[in-house]
Amino acid sequence: MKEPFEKVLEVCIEKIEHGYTTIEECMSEYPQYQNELREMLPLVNSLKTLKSMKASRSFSNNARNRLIENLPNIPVTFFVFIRHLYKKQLFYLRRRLYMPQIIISILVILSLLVGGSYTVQAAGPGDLFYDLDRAIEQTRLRLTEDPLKSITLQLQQATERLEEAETKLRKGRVDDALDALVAYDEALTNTSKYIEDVQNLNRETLRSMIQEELALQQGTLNRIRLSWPEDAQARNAYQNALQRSNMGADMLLGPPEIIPKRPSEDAPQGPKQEDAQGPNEEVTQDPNKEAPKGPNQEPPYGPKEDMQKGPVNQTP
Amino acid sequence: MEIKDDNPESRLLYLAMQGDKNAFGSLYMHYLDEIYRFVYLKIGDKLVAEDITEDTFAKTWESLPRIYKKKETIHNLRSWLYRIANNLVIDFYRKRKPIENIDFVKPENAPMLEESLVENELSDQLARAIRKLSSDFQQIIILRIVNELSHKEIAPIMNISEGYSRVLLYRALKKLKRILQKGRDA
Repeated sequence: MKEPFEKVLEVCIEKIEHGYTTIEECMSEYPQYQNELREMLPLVNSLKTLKSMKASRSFSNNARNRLIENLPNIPVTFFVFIRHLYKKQLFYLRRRLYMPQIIISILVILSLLVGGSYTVQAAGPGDLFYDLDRAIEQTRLRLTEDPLKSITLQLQQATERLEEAETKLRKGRVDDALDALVAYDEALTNTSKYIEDVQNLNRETLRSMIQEELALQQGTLNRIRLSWPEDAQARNAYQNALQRSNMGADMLLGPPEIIPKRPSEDAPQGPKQEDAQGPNEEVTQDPNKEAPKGPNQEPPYGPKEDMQKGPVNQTP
Repeated sequence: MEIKDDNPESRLLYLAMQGDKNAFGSLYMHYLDEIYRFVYLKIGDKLVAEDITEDTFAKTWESLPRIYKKKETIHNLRSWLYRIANNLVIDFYRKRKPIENIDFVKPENAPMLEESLVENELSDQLARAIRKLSSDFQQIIILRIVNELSHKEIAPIMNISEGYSRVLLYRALKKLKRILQKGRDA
């Protein structure tokens, strides 16, 4: 039976490899495959020259030490593990063990930072972080050097008080809502004083800014009015807040006449100025007497002392 | 796990599996050139081939404890090393295009005589031709002809039968002959 060529080739290669035979001898041994062997065996011989290829000496010389240095210590048995532990060579393993703890700690700190700042920000009267929230607001206010920015911030904080009142009311915490309204009243009073003290303000810009913020506050006040309980003390506080807000820009900026105007504008504005000045001037002097009345037509009350006295004595 | 064979390689491997780096270093030196040749002929870049050779052994070291814990052993370390090296070469080609122009590494300290120049040229030509073959053909030629492994040893490395290994060698040599012929004609 004729042997397959692959097998013959293998036999010849092996024999030549071990030096038992030569190409010529192999070809004469298998005359039926002479042509194929003449083609393949010299090529195999040439390929053998590639065996001389080696890694460079510079690489080989340090190869062993370099590899040994870079190999990680891997404890394979319990005893080896204990030995490594004893030698304190388990940095790699320890690092792996500590990683979950480190990750959890980072997550906890992050959640506290993010969640904590949100909690403080969202705190209202009666809440644990309310005082902290107010303290942060005051700090921000002190750090603001630009008067215009400071006024904006103060007005925003006043708006925030109103929103707190609305939130508390929605939760049924009327006492806390009352506190928030008192804080709102205080905030506007302080803003008014601050504006009086500051010079060189662009009054027109300031007026439009104040009006914008007060419009927002009016909206919140209207919502509060709709859900306010029929309680005299509560009504009293609400009236105060409403009165402050109604007085609006004039109360905060003073009468419009202090705004410098061009001579040409004076004539047509004359009567209007008088109208505007009348009540406002009186309000700043004594709000209990002549201040504009709220929707229920009840007289307004002073900010804090009046509330403490109670509304019964004050209501006509 | 017990040492079944009493040969030095089995002993070294047994020690290496217990975490003995020096024993593993000895195995590394034993197989270094063989694995380097295999990688270099497939890649054609001296430095990359050296890196991949080192990586092959580092990866083997990392897998030793796993094998030891399963109370198993590496029955054929050579075949194991070739498979890891081949996988690393595949990874290398996945990440990078093959390098066309290679520098043939002549054995160091060899005088640059005319004869060795011709030999170098021939080896270079052969190495280039090998790289033009398919991965299987490359592998069978390098393993059987260059590194002189038997078909019995090649079969588990390439995951083929001994008979098919012989057939593959014949086909690979035929293809290589054709490539070299084309090169000469061109």
